[in-house]
Amino acid sequence: MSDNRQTVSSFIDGEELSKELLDQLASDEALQGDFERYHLIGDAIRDELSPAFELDFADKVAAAIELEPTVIAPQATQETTVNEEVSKKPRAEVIPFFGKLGQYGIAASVAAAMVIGVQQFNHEETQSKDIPVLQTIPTGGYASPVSFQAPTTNDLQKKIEQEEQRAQQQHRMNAFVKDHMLQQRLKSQTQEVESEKEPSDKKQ
Amino acid sequence: MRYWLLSTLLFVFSANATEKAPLDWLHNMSAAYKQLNFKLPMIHLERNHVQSYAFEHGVIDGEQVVYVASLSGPVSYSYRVADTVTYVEPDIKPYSVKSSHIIGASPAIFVNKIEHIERNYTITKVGKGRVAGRISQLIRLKSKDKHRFNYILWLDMETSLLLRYDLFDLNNNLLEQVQAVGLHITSEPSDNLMKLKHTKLPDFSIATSQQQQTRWGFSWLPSGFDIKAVDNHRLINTSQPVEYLMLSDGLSQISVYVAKRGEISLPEKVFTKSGIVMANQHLGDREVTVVGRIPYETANKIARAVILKP
Repeated sequence: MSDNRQTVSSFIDGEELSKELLDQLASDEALQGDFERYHLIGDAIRDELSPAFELDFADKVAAAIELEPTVIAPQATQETTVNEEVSKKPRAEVIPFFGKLGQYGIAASVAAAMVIGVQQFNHEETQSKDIPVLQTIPTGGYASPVSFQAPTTNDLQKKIEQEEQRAQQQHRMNAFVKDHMLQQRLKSQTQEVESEKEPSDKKQ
Repeated sequence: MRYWLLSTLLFVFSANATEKAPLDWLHNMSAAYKQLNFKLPMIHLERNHVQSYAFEHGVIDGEQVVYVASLSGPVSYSYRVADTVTYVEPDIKPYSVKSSHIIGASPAIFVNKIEHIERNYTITKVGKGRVAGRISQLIRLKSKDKHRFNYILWLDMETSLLLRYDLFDLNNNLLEQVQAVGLHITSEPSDNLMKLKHTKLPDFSIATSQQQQTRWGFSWLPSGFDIKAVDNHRLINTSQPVEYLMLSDGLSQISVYVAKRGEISLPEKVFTKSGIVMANQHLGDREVTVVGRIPYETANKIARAVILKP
């Protein structure tokens, strides 16, 4: 073990790296830790630490990858029909979309990509908190009562209603976030046109 | 005009001085980006999201060709030839938008934005660092007010290209990081870019809707932000009709929605892990929703500032 450390240390100092050590490094977690720390010490000595560096970055990446949910392509029942309608239109390089339906068709399809992005918040959130997808500070009425009494049908009914409301809220909040992402793409030209008027850009 | 003179002066001085001013670094970055042929593999980090990308840039017959592709998960990529951006994503028909930049993680997000940056941020040099195996100059963009988040840019000492940027919230929590893991500069554009240059555009494209009139205005806006676009459309998934306004300071976009109040109102304060916040306020029988990657207090203030124009 200490032999390996020696080798790791000398590798970082710029010496040759053998294939065996590389294999060991790939499989031995403790050695990886050494590798990271030696590099860090080197960086610190050379005063090259980044302002935002994190000691256990590699672990965090690994953890994040593990947490990655299986991506299930979102259903697009209504959306596909709209899309087909759009694709039947005569082909052209750029079709002006005056019809709102047309824009919505594309909007819906782009959303699929965004869902994945937003759903990733979902995974971790459900483990730690009751409210999925978005951390919310509700205006009121979310806390479920803690009590030793067995829930009555009335309570259950209320609970189900609350759940439904929450799901609906969630759905609507996601729609806003997704639309925000989409609009940035669709309206990016508008911003560019504005910025091209800037004197500093002309100079470039 | 004053800015122009000032930057010209800075340019002249920088030719003599060994130490470049922070603003010169940004000008050089913009210029280098537009001229060089390069490949740049990179990773994009958000709170619990990591994605790796391949990025390529080239100039073919005087036109810029840019390619960004995700390297893991479902195949998705986008490319830009001159002023047409094409997005290709799983389960979706590819589509094009007229735009001179690709939206998303990219070493190009500060290109052509110097005027905006200068207006809204204090620009300082903050030492050197190493990224993608290269020495970089760190440039800090600190917001002049509390209405936007702060950046640190890492610019390659040799080429001035952006190799990394970090986005921090007001409490200095890292919200986003884009980091190159290599930089390959070539004399000619890659074969891939050559092919893309001559690829037929997708069958259908979106022409951005003409600027429409809006009956909504703002009694207050954070400094530097203007209305960039307005329209009426329907939301994804819920197909709720909304009146829409986009605000921008050149770097960050804010979406403002005015819609009929639903039976269930949304929480006043919503956070996501990527730093996007949502503020909801009632305005008579309307609900105002503000979405963007900005401090929540700012979003909320904007939501409260929405007024019906006289």
